[in-house]
Amino acid sequence: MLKTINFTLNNEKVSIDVDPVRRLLDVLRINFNLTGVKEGCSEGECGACVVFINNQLVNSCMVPMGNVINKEIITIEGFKNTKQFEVIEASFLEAGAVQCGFCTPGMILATENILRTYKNPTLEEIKEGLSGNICRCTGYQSIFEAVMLAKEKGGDLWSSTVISL
Amino acid sequence: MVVDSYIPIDLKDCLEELSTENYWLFAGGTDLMIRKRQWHGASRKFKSPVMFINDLEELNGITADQDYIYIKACNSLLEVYNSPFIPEILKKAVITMANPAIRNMATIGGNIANAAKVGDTLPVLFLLDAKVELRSKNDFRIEKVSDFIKGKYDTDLRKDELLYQIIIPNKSFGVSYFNKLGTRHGDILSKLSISSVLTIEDNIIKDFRVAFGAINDKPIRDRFIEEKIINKELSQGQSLIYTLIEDYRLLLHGETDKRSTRRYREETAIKILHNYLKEELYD
Repeated sequence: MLKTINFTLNNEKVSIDVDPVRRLLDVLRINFNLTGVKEGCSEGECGACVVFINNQLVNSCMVPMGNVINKEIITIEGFKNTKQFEVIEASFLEAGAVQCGFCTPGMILATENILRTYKNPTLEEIKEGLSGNICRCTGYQSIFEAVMLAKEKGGDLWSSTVISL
Repeated sequence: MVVDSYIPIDLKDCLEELSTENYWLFAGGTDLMIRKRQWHGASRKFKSPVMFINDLEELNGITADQDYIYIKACNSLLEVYNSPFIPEILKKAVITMANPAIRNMATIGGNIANAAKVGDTLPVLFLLDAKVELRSKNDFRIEKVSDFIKGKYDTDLRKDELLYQIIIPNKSFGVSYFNKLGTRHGDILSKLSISSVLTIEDNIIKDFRVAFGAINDKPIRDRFIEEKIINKELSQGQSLIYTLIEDYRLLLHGETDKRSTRRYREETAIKILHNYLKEELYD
């Protein structure tokens, strides 16, 4: 039975009639055409589909629509309008941390999560923070460097834990 | 096929509904959504209606008093990890589970009610003498986690019941040890895990507990073996290490599966236990 589910998507209130056991990932990609949310492994291990729900990083392939009622969801498309994104994007480019780009939306959101969580992340904390994100071509070293560079460039940008669009 | 689903407004509503229908309960959904995977774009299929309980206020929050810690079932693993009330050994287990994004969503209640053989909180909860409080429309009961878990994906949860909270005796230990082996460091399911707490005071072994996870269908803990060295002098404990090792070896009945062979699981678990005991009882 379809249910009407209301939530906030990239700062806009939206409503959709949907089966509550449908994946958030499918709804974002198919119904809202937000294709920056990628489908990789489909089982929560690759991190290509991560989004923020109420400011928490989650794998959208594991989230049933029944669990997003009245939640605030931010995808890479919404996050790209932030100052934090600008800094992370510049850092990924400078460090050469993008090759095919499939994992990049997930890597960028995971980077944001790391920089919110740790004031001055160590290499170990960066590795832990990216442990749910798999890259098959760029190589991790340049991605770790990009995270450190973003922290350096961003300064106090991450002193608040809330994303401002 | 689109299944029927229910989203309760509060706990009372949830228990009322549970008394009328046999529901699949969704907390974080991290395991269920994968176990029921379908092609891209398709809804998950369930044989019975589903109920979403994750956002119920009554099922969230962690409190403690002098005697017990109370963890509501729908606390995420991250919330468990971040709570100041949680015993060190449970934190050590939780932080090895999955990855940051999954820990934000997966719940401790889900890890218990799911009863997967590889559930990493289970051996630790066995070790801590944790109990679960189960609620139904007109009743509640409290049961040891070690009795609640009957086997792989098998629990004592009745159709009209809900896992309401986990109750852990509020006790501190000298040593809290958790070791888990998998194919890589992050984001992996256990091949095996060993957890132990140990308290030595004035050269006397005051407390000693060991639990093995992901080897047998259900975590292993044996109080009779533990009691062999409890309240004994440290030197007596040292002399009993090989006896303990052989006692535990007899309890391991693993199987070979896609993650590991039976022999690797059992031999490695025993070696890790041996090293741990040597290190803690001699150093």
